[in-house]
Amino acid sequence: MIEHLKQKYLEEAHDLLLELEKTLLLLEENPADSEGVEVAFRVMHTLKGSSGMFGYQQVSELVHLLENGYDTIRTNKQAVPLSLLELSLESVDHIRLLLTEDTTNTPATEGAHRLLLKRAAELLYEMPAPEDERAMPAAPAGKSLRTWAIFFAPQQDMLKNGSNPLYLLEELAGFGGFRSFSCTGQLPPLTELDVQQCYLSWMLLLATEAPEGDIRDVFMFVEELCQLQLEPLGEGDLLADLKEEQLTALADKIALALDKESFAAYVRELKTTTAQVKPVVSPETAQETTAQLASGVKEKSVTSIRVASDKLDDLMNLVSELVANQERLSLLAELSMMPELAGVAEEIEKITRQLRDKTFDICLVPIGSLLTRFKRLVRDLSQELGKNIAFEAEGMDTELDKNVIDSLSDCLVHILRNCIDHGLEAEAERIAKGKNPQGTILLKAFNSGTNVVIEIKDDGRGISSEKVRNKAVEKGLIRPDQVLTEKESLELILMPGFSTAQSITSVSGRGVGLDVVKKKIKELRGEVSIASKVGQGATITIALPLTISIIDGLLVRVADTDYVLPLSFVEKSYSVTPADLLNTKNNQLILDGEPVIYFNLAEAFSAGSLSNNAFGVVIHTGTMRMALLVDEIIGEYQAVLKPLGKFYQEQDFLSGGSLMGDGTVALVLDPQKLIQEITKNRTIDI
Amino acid sequence: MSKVAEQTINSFLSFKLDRETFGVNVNKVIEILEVPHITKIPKSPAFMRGVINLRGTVLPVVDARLKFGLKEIADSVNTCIIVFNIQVAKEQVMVGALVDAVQEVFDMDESQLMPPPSIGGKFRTDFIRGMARNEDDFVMMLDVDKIFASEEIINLQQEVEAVKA
Repeated sequence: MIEHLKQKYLEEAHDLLLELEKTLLLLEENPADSEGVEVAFRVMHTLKGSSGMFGYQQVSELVHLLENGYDTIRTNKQAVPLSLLELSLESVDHIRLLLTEDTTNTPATEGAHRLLLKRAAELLYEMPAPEDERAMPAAPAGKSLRTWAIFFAPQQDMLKNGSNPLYLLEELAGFGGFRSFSCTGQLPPLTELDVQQCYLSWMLLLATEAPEGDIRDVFMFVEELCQLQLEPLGEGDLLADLKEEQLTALADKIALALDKESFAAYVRELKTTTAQVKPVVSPETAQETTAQLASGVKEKSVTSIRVASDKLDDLMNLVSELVANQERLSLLAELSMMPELAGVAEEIEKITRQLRDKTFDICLVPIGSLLTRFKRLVRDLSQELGKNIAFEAEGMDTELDKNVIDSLSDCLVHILRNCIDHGLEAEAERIAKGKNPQGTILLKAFNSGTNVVIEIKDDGRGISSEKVRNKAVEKGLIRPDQVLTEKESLELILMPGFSTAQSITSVSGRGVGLDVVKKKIKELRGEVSIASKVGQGATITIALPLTISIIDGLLVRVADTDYVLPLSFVEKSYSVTPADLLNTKNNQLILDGEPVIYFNLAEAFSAGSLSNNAFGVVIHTGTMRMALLVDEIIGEYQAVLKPLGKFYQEQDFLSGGSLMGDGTVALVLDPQKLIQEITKNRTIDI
Repeated sequence: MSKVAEQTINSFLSFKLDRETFGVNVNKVIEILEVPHITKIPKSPAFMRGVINLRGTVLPVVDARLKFGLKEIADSVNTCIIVFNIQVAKEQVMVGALVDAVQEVFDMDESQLMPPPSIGGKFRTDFIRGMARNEDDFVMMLDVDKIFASEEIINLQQEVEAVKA
């Protein structure tokens, strides 16, 4: 149980760190952004609390110091000093380290930890002390005693979340004069009472010097688990002014019923009784603050939940199964000639389609979720290397399957490192070349057909194909007399054992190079390509298929097996008779007066000879155009792609399988890989 | 399934391949299927019969006869697919095995298993966990994890003879 909770804490902590990092990077651009400071403070506060609770004392002590810093800035409405941002970012990294169990207690991390604490303490010392009175714009200047009425109604399941309202009340009582009135109206008879539920709500009166923020902070961890309303009753300690009889009468009323409306009524009542004695805060100000608070709460209510990816995979499987069965049902309904059944089948088809689309949608994650990591990387590296670099991102809402995003992240980091280290010049060099002193890296993602394309473009030195070629010859990767196109030469840098860096820096060039990227992308069934103009920059393009995807395909049959050809590759189809093939040269068919290389799938797949009424499907892969000969064309088909699994990894010309309406499996072809496979073992007849 | 279950289940499923009877622990078996339409995968070894649709997932099917170096025969009414849950490189993978016929589930204590005799390294006996006597029949107990993790054809005939000798 504890392990389970701890796991949850760790997940949450990582999320918080990510949010903090994002906020810090934004603050760096605009240090005076008070909203950003507020967010940073809140995130730190939450992190501190939960870290302490799960025994990560080192985390909580470090965050505590930083939090104090942001609190000061928050109350003084200052800009955040860059030194603090720097320290905070380093701390984020350090905390990530602390959260990975096994590194916690090594002497190195201990040392780093003490150093960070010391620096944080020093920084704090230099900062001006918080001035509470400026914290509350609504409050008049000067520290003064105010009386608050607080409505606090926990949700019934608050106790299950490990929060105890009693502690919160005790903490509040510590602020000053305190009276609590509980409402017991919701309490069920003893026989129906569930001891794990909280049935009580409270109206609290508090006379304190503490600002509103401090009172709210008490409820910080239960914000989402309760209804909370703060209402100023007036200046000074009004508790002393209230007569005991009045309070008892109030307590009796509250005991019976307490909700937002009655709370407001009680507050009005108290105000009128105390009004003769003290002035009341103008109603407009009160309204304004509540309106602000209400909008703040609204923003937060866009909720999301965490789901284990296994569960999503299960859901995916079930939905695909449903789709297959629904197709079967539609087919049967059509054959049955029963109008009622046809109606039901149609309705189910509609619902199934919606369900399927929603499920696909759930499994997709926008590339933008990686953005913070990249921004941070560019920032840190450009500082380390003393380069002036702007990082731009486009199309960050382009979505990819979650698993693909995870593997992609490392690849993109690797490429970005290369851009920053090797690609972009230092400022002086850029000025000398007459370029904009600030280098630019553009990360761009977009959908193209059934692919998602990701481009990383820099405006640096560019890659010289000649240099690459010479280096490859030197390293023995190619023969000196080998003829290569410009593109092929450039792509030599993706080969294992190639590294163009003149000297090895701490950033990149450790021998493992872009070949790792190529391998990883290939595992995702994607492609990497490079384009460059010397002096103007380089572009690395990654094209990835959407793994969990519906492929719009053309269903064809070869012998007794169904194949799906992605429609995006299909150009045209023709009827082909044995006579057409009789007098062909160099495997070329004349279609519409043009020669097209053809390829007999039945032969290639050892599936016997082609039927007499065969078809040629012309496909186009960007570089190649060829006709695939098949026995039959069945029609258009939406294929839900399923992996073929471990046992069929060798057959990479198949993207996967797709379940058909009749319960069989059709194979989805990857035309690009298929052509590679075909041309691989072929010699050219001259 | 947890390790505890693996230790305590002493039930075995026996099936026929050619003239021999083989057994596997039932905790490795998920279900037994009739032979549906199997989609052949081009350019794959002959013992890989293809894939079928198992309630929404694509299940690879291995022809046990060919995998064990036996002669190919036409499928009969008794031919069926045993779906195994096996462990390959620390991963749980499902695979179907086409066998001539399934026979029965019988209980036997693991300790009654006769270990394969060591036979001077002439034949590998990794794939057979031992031999058991079920009524009048000898049953070869198979280690399905190892069998399906290997990508080659296993000459089981030689193994069987080695064990029997």
